[in-house]
Amino acid sequence: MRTRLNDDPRGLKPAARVIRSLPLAGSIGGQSPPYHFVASWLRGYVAGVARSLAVAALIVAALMLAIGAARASAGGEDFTVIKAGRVITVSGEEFSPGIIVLEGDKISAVGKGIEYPPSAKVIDAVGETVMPGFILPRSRHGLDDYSRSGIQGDQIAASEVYLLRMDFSDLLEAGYTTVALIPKGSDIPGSASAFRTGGADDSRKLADAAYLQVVPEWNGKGKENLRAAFKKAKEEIEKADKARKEWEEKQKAKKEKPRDEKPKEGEEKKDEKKEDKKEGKKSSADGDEAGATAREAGAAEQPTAKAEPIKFDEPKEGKFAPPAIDPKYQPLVDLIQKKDGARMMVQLTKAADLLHFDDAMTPYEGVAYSLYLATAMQTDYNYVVKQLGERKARVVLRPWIHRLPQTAFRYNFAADLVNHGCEISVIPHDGTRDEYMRLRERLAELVRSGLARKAAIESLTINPARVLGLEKKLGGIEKGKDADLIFLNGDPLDPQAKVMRVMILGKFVEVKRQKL
Amino acid sequence: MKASHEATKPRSHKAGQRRAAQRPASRTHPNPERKRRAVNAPSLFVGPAKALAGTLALCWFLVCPTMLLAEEPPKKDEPAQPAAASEKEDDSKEKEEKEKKKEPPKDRYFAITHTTVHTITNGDLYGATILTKNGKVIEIGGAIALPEGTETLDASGFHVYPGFIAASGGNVLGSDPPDDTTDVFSLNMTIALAGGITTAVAGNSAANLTYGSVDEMIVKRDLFKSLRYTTDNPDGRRKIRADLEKVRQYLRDVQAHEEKKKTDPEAKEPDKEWIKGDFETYLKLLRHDAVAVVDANSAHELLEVCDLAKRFDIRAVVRGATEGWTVAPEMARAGLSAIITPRRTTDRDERYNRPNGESIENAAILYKHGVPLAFVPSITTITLWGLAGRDLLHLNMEAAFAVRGGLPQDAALRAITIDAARVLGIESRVGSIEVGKDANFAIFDGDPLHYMSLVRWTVVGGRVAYDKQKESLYSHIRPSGDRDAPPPDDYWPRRLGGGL
Repeated sequence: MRTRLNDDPRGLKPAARVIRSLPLAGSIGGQSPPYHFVASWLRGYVAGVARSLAVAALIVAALMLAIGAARASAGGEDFTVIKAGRVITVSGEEFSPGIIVLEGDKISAVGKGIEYPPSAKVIDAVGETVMPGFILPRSRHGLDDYSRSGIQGDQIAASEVYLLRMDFSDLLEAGYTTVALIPKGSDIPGSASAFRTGGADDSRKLADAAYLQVVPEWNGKGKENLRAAFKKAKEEIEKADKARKEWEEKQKAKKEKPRDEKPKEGEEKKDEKKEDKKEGKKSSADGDEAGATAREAGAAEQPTAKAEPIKFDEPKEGKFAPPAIDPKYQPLVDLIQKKDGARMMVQLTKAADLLHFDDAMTPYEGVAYSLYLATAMQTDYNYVVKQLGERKARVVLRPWIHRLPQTAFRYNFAADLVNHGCEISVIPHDGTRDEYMRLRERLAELVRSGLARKAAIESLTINPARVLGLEKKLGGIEKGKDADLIFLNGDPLDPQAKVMRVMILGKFVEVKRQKL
Repeated sequence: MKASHEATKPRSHKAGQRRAAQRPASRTHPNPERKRRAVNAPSLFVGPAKALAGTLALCWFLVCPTMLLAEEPPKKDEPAQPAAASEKEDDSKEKEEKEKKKEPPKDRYFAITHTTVHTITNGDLYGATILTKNGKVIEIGGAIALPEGTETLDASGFHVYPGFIAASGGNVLGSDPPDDTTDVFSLNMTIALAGGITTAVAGNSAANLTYGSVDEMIVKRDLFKSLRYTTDNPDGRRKIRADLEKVRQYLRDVQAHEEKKKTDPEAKEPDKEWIKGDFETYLKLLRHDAVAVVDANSAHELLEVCDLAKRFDIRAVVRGATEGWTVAPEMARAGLSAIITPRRTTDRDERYNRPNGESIENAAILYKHGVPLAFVPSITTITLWGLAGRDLLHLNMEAAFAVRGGLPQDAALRAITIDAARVLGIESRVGSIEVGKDANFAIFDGDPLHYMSLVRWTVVGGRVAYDKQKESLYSHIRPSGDRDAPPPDDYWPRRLGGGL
């Protein structure tokens, strides 16, 4: 009895504890005297019946829930209406006041004075500004200090992410609803993975491989390695093409001349079996599909990255099996072949790096890429801003007012990029809460000194969505997009304004605020 | 060293003038661009325009066939088409437009006009013009007809020299290979250009300082094979000698085998499996396919190198050669060339009863004995404290100091232009102003060996890479080269770099 008392100061018996966890007991709650009264009463009279009572209550609750769900599904409608003081749609015009109609977790309509079903749940946000949640296109938020170098195209950042352990509250507080976590390291350390900062766990992951992270060491072997990596990828493609050609020729020859060399075929079959064992599922799938699955499955499989020897013999079905492409180079192969969704983000450190990057990529036209312009206070990108503008570059940068090289002259680099036709996305200066919270203020500074307001808003929403290839899903308030919204008590570019509420997939998520 | 000959013989300026006199009065010549435009004109005017262009072109071809050799072969002249064929022409027009899109970029012409040209290898030309195409010199002469669209730089009153060559590059270029790593917008590069340098060595490669571009930077890779042949490394030296001897024996065996083969076709070839790594280097050296570079300063070290070069008949460049003046005849006989610093100071060692230490006459004495020279400053980088005049920015002052020691003025200039190029083995690309060479020029407002002279423009690969008036390094000193002009009042705040 003593030990039990130590366990629970109130010294309740197990049965009573079950009761306490029920809603009825919860409402009495705490250590208040009535609770003790009830407890003793229960202990005295109903302890034996408690278990059966609890079970009954649970059954009733389940029944109620089932009925409710049935009713909802009978209507087929799960509408929510947000009556906002102001709606910044990003994708279209602004409404003030405006109404956003959500159907489930998607936006179904937005406008001024539009009709909505009377059964819809209404959210009153008359005093608030509603806009799409911010998207952070590259971050190491909450990840360990783990880096890898070399060509590691098969790696993804998601393999480092344990959602149970991740704490996105700082990002949520700053208004971020999506974050792309990047693998750390030089050359090609892997692909960035995009996550929602809140919501149900199964809906958190947006993309395993949003883009390939490319971080050449421009002062050293970076350009050489980049060139070599793409060359190797091209060789892989050529290898597959050659194998296909030879297979086709073989097929032709077979049709013309039926089999006459039986012993050789037996050998081939043995080889096949061996290879099947090695490659597992992949050898059966078609080359492209194999690549895609490798990219999606990514971390789960952790494929052993060894180039298989070229095998030209076909499986029993008579279907062509291309030689396995080195999974480390698969994303590069996809980039060269301009596959849907294949894109990379290249990190530059200075203006000259752009020229070196162009030089290295000359043989590979049309590869989709965005640029991360790592900057210091003094930057010399002003020399290449025209070239960036001409190609309408998709640029990620930190919002600074820079200084021109070797001078104290102020230079609004972001504004200059936009004026030249680039598409900019901004990221906080570092991974601290302070910088997350200051980002809108820094952006406002840029706007005050010449950056277009529209571009500033886009640099937090639709532009980073494009960088991640999620522009059809996120980054604006329009029909069909996910209802990832933030509610501010003022203009987003007003440093005083705060993110009051955050909605992810149509549901408000808890925003833990740090007390100041 | 390589026999001193130029890869491409320039035409003499007199020839250029003669040719210019024969040319039509018009200063623009009917280049292919113009012809193409005539074809795209409205159909009514096509005939006459084309005919005109055709005849002009024909005249041109007849008058100046030599010039055309350097140009693209002309398209066949079509006869003037009748106006009735206009419908067909619409189609062809579209096709032509499509073809036009695929065409490689236009030729880039750049000319420096009305200036004094110091070719270094072929004397000086006054009131001359240099015409460059796509970064190469194509014509030098008195009155050259410039193609349409030529970017011109009127440098009247200025002196055009070939861009200087820094036989050691320091922080001007990136690490080797420079075309992968160089920051082509760096301040160091601008400063080097302000010193008239257009070619520098990074690691074991020579590259042009192509400001703002990474195209066609490399002049030559694999300049030297470095040998460590210093006196504090006797074992290493012994090994080098033994290995060289081994490879030489192999070469003799190969020769003997070839002789033997004539009589006995099944003669066994000498084993060559072991010729890898260092041995391969030695093989190249012995076959004169490569040049060795050795660091040597004191007299006894230099004599060791002389001995090595003579014994194995290899070509070698000595870096340092502070005491070269004491062993100049031996160095010349061994066929060495030297990369030296005329202002190097080394105290005389009183233990030796022979001339030693540095001498202001080092360069002059070596030159007198026929040792090819290249000059580098004592600090082979761009440094802030180098503003005192010992860093790469003052390559010309380094040469000027050698003149103080008795070196002829033209030899001093050659030591930072064509002779430096020869020492590096890049004389076919850079080092003098000749037809076919890279369009690298340093345009001074006076004698480059005079302390008051400043670079007004530097041209690299037919592009102005440095303009004194646009950079704030020296823009406040004697604007437009006028030595008597007072400095401007408002040169502060200074701003470097072009850009915004």
